[in-house]
Amino acid sequence: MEIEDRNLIIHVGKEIDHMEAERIRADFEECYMRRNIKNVIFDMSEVEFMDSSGIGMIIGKYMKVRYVGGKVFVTGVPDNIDRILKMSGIYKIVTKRDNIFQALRSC
Amino acid sequence: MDDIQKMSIEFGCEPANESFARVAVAAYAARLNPTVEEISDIKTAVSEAVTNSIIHGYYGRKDGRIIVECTIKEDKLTVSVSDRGVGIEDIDKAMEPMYTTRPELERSGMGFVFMEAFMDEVTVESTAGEGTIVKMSRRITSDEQINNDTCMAVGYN
Ligand SMILES: Nc1ncnc2c1ncn2[C@@H]1O[C@H](COP(=O)(O)OP(=O)(O)OP(=O)(O)O)[C@@H](O)[C@H]1O
Ligand SMILES: [Mg+2]
Repeated sequence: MEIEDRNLIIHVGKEIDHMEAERIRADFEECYMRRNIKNVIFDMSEVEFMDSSGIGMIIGKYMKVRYVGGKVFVTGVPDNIDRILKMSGIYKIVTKRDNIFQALRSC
Repeated sequence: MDDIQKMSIEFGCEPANESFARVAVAAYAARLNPTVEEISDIKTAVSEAVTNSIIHGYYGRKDGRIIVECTIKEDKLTVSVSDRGVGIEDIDKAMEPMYTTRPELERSGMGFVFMEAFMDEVTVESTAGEGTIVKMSRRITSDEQINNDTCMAVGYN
């Protein structure tokens, strides 16, 4: 995880399942408690597998930051992962950008 | 045994077994020469069912066992995932999009939606207090030239 201003960038591992979602959740909580985070950017460029655990985890982060007017972004989304994100309807609350730089510009 | 193709595995309810189960089923399905997309769909569906057994079926328990059985008939893969956990009171309700009994665990109620989207057929049998069996099947189109991509998607790298 990296922090730029009030933006938290999370580099997601290859497989977002139950275990990886819990790991990200724990890391996020630690950062979130210590820093004044507003926006969260999930860098998905390395992701090869995702199930509903990933959807729940992303929605959970949105629920946290929306109270401070924050946004959630996903970047570098591979095609097969995009299909799952679309199917879940998550793009109603999460913004897709090509890369981290573009997401930071929209923050 | 009349079904020499049949494969079954049994494991405990540890989250690490979710990836083990989906890779095992994908490796088993590889004999049908699935496409990379088919492998990805099957892995997601299996992951959903096994995660549900661990999170919901055996919530707060460490002694639960999960059984995954697979068969292939012609070009059709059938996978069943069963647990002897708490069971489901109202199956129709459980299968509705965005219905979850565990929002506090950041669950979104998309598991059955993905299983139904990625498999041709999904049936659920469950009795409260006894357990749950999820049966799913998928016809594989058979990609003639099984390539490195598929081997990688299966987890054979
Ligand atoms: N094996 C099971 N044993 C007991 N209850 C189950 C089982 N599988 C599913 N359920 C019930 O069905 C509901 C819906 O399951 P589904 O997988 O669609 O969503 P979820 O697991 O709650 O969330 P998500 O899959 O998005 O993380 C669950 O919340 C749970 O109440
Ligand atoms: Mg589920």
